[in-house]
Amino acid sequence: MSLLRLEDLTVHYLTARGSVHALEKVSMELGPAEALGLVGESGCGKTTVAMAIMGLLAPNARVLEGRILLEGQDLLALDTEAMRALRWKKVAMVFQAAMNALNPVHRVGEQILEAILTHDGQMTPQAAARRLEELCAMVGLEPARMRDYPHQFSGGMRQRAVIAMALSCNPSLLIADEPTTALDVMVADQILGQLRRLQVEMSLSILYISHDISVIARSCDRMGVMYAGQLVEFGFTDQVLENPLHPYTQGLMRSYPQIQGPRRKLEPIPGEPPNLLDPPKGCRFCPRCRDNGRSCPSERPPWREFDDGHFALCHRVHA
Amino acid sequence: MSPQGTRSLVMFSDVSKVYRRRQSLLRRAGVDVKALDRVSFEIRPGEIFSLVGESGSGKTTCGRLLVRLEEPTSGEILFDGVQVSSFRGKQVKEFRRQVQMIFQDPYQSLNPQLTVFQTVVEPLLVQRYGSHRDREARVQEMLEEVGLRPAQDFIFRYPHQLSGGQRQRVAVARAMIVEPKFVVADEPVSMLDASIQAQLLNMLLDLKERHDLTLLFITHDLATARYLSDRICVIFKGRIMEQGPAESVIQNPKHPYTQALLKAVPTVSRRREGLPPPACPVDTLSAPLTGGCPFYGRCPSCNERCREQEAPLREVEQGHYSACFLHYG
Amino acid sequence: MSSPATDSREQRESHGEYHRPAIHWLRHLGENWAIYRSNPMGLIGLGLLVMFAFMALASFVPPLLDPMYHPMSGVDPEIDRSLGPSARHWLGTDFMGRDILSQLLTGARVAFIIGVSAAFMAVAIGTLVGMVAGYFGKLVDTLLMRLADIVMVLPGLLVILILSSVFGQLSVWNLVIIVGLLKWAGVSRVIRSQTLSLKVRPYVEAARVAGASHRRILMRHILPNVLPLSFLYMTFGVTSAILIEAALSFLGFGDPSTVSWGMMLQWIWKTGHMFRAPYWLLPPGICISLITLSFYLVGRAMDEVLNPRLRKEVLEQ
Repeated sequence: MSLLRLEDLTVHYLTARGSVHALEKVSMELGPAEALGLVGESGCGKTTVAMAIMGLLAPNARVLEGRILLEGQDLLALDTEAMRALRWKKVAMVFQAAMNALNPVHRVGEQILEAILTHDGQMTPQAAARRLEELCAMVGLEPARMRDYPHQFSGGMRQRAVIAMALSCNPSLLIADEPTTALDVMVADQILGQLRRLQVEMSLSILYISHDISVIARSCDRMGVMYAGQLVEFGFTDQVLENPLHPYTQGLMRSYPQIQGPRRKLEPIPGEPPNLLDPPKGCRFCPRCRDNGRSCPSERPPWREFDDGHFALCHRVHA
Repeated sequence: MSPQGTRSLVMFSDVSKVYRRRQSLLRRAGVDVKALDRVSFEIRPGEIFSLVGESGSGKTTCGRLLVRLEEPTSGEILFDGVQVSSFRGKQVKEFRRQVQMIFQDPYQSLNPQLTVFQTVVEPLLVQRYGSHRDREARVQEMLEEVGLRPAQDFIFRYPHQLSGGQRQRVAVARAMIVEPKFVVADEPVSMLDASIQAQLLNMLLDLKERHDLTLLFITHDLATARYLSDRICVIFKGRIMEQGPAESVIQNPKHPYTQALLKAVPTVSRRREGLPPPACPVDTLSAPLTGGCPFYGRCPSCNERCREQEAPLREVEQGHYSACFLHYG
Repeated sequence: MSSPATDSREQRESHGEYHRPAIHWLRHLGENWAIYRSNPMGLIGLGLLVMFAFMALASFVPPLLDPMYHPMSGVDPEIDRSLGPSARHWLGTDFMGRDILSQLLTGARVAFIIGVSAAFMAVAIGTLVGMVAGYFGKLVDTLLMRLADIVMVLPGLLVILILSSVFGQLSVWNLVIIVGLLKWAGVSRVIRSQTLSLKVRPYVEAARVAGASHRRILMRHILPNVLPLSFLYMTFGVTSAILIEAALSFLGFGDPSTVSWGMMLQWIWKTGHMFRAPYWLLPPGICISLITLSFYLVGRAMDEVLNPRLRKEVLEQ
């Protein structure tokens, strides 16, 4: 039984130079209290997926096809009012570099309270204060620090504050877009640990979005790999990491220098991602792929299941 | 600190950098920020030396002091045996030819109003190299060498027409065009995507081999440091914690801070356990820095002595140094 | 050699055209014009400006047609006082029988000359001072900015009045110089802060590491990025200069050897025709307001061109 389900989501952005094919038939699902990670490099469309779920796509975006089902309800079919009511209550998001979005002239506690009260105007001040304390405990902040201003908080603390704001209304789904970029390695580790605890304790589902595979590896039960607007691989994290099927995933894993093991030469993927104003007709990864077949340049690859729950978008993969 | 016979190319000797904050023109009181505190290390010719640290550790400051973008508050910086701050006139120009820098942000390190050609040729103009034709040829050669081929396609482009990886290649071309001996690379790949990072790292290795370069590689990522370097130096809050051959530091870290960093480095394949809790926890954010070890309060092995005294950097194994009381009485 | 960054043909073409700098500059101009054009206020402003420019050029015509149309010395043998519009004098005549239209056209010419020259001077000085102060900092910065503070605080009009009562009547060019010397301070502050932020950009630091001289850095890296701001301030400066000249002329301190709109207003007032001759009063007054408005509108539209964040995305439907 899935909490969130995307079916064939296709989104284009209209610009002065033409249509940018940002997403093409993206399908995935996420269960309750589960962590799903979307990994991909810049321009692959992962943030667009997040924005589509939140109903925050830019004005020049057009959803050409697909459904986004949250607890069975199609979010794309809702009007703005209905979406606004749902947003933050059922699904909340922590944006990229959100810690920089805290208002520098208001105290941190005030800002979190504002998030609490905006979505539940009926709350009494005492109830709100109690909720604030609860949230602090959840994210690992000291209630005594709530009277500080954002610049007095470290990067990690600010990120926790933003997470607290997102959790204020007890959503079922939290979207975390690059939650640890710009944080030091040790602080990032703590934040990810905290999020994992929340997932378990609050039965919260989390959708992680990151360009860094290691963040996904650490935190997610299932993961999807995105490239040029398409989902090219999907499955349980262990499955995908131990046995990557898609040549892009394989190439990506070969691009990371390792701390463990022997020092081997990195074999980066040659070239650059395609321009989405005019993406390749067949497989979008074909121009950079080592293992091309006859149908790769001309036909869209099939989305096939290999192992139980492990999918890949490729002509050439064999089970 | 260097073994017999190997003269160091770069030497930092007790270098400190303090930024004074004055509250107002009249009052002298203010909080001083100590970016570097008596830092000493040396870089040997032909090696890749990585300076690894988190943000605020002082690693970028070291690079900037070396290329004379800023001056140290105390201590000496020597290049090829000569004090960097003592250069005058023609010596400065020669220094500028021999020492170059690659910056972190590909979106800010190129002047948006200049074409690729204009950006890359500038160091040649400053050094008054050859004729216009010579310079054109050299720029073309350099662009091809950093992987921007065919060069003709790129010379008239503006930065906004290039991707992040391409811009960074232009930055490398600009640094390399005067054939420097020594290059400071300040987090050159941290703002790039993974696959592009890997391309650029390999490119740097190639360039180093081909031109017999010496490289100071500044980064927060131990994995990248391990991939590239001969020696690694770990810096924390303006002080050197550990220093030694790359494999030795990575496989057999001595200092608790290095050990913690290694544990926290994300790996692609394996799930990780958490970090061990500190032995003497303290509210590090509000407590001012005392005279002791900067890692006090987060270290799983710290004790009272660590709070009062600072452990000096001492050789623990052949060529491998650590600044921690754990290793000696 | 490691894998080259091979761009596919489609990628190269879609990364945008890449031409020699001259062609790129023209294309740049074309793009900017498209942005400017989308702003209705800018178009109105530009239209008005074109009209005034045309008037200024046309000012040479009437005296050539007939000496009696000369704005200063042209005297209609048959008219010796102020009369309304007629076939011979489309806007009528002033108290001496001189043609008002001709004076109006000449006034446009004078407004442009004074406005643009004075603004140019103020902006040139201000940009130079701002760049030097911002770039070199420390003592130079302190001295220059204190000087700017003093100049900014001086009551401009008063200074000019005092100067003209001491030195007698000021010519047009004297006025230009004085206005230029009084108005540079505001510009210099803005240019200085822009320079401060540019100074720490990585590409400027890269130039320093490459060994570029101060002069090279200022001319190559700082100035081109500061010029758009300067141009903007020039448009504001023009309105300022024109108004000052009008005020001075109205008060009687203008250059008696040329006609300007302010001068016309002075004559109207002095000869008591203020409420008696609307055909004489209205044209110069309206012109002063309109030319000020037009420069302001152009400045606002230019802001959108120069500051990409203010632009509205042009969509394809």
